[in-house]
Amino acid sequence: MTVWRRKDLLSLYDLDADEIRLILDTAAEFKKVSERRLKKVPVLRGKTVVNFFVEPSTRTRTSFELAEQRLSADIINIAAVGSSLSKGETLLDTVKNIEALQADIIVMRHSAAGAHNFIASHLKCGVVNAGDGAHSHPTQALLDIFTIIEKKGSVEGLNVSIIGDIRHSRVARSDIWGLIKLGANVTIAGPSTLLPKEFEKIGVKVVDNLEAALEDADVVNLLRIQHERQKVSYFPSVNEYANIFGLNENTAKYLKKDAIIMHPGPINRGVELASSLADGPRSVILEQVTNGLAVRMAVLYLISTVE
Amino acid sequence: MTSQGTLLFDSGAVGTMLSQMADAIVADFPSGDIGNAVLIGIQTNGVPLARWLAREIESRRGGAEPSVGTLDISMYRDDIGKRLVLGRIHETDISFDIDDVPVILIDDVLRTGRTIRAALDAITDYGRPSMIKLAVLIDRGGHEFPIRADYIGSSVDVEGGGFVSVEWSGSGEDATVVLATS
Repeated sequence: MTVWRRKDLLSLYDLDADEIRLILDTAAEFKKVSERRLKKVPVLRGKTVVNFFVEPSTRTRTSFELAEQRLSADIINIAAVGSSLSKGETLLDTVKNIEALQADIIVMRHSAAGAHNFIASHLKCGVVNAGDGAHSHPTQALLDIFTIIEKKGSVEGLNVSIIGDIRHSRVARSDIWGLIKLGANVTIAGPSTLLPKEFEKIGVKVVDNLEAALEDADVVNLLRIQHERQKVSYFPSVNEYANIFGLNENTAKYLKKDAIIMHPGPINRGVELASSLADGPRSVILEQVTNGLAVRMAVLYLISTVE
Repeated sequence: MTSQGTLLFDSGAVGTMLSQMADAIVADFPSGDIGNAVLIGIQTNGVPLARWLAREIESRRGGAEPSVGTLDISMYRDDIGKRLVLGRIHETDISFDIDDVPVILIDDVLRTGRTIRAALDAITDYGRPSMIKLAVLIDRGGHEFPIRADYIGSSVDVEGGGFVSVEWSGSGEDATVVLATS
């Protein structure tokens, strides 16, 4: 039997397949809590969770916060603006101060890849990675995989295509690690400037045209172009990107009838994904959001079981 | 664990206990009411017991089986974060309304009463039953909470740190009770 022994969730890269499955199985039971009339359980009663979002976030922070409330935790939210970071305090000093307030778990988003590994090694309290730069976003990948399993029964042997700005995407990296560990066939597609070839080494198929990514896919996950992380121009124009890599009524003809369409949000409608498809019957985008709550409850629960 | 344990009750004896428990439940919930009362088995060993009891109750009444639900109490434990190893969360499946109906909660072994305390909290988060009764196959003493069972297969007095467990055959149709001395 798999037993959870980690005080932190930093990256799916660290987890083995059984640990990932344990989180997903646990999430299935927490999903039911949100479907009850009384949507709260006393799992984190008396525990304090600090949401420390150095990089802005709406959906992830809201999802974590609601997950914590459903688990009966006491919650403190700290944003980078207005925190002592803006007064020149180091990250480690800030989180040590948070821990000194008897915080049990710190949920952090930070723009620097590896920031969580650094603070986790210095703290006794649990650390959950809510996104670090372009590196990792484990709870997003977990909710993606949870949603795929809910729709398709399993991820093993499924063809999953991730399309868009792979280079700057922590979602893509986390999805790839999780999906490969659970036996999916992963294809990535996008402009070649945004398509790191190193993923081929772990068995990911890298293609530079949309048709090749769509034709056998059981799942397509579309990513937003992350202009905020792009220091230089990687392709000529947004219009050109939409024409070549956008999923719309025209390009959707390459898709299998039962393929599902995913997007981690926020969507740039009409760029990577047309509105008619984002709101269409094959879209599972809002179910991803619902499942994110369950997955985050499961992660917080498992971490809280480790002293 | 089975191989090192002492057999306390063979499957025949367990069958007799369940039969007597079913008699007592049917006697307490006379005609009309039992169709209303629901059985909820505590994960994991209370679940096959609940199903077994439901069949026994049905055979006595010649009607439909009472509804059977399953309840996992992991989210209501009083030792989250205090134990190194917590078990996997199993399925909670209460797909019927428990408001204003009698609930019979079923577990295999009653020891400290802490599991039942957690189960009472969990159940009342699902609704407001008209009453909750507790049925256990084995009451082994050593209660730490003021909790007693209403239906007991057998009370076993265990010296020291012995561990009483109910061992199921693969089919879930056949159980024995074993005392392991650890």
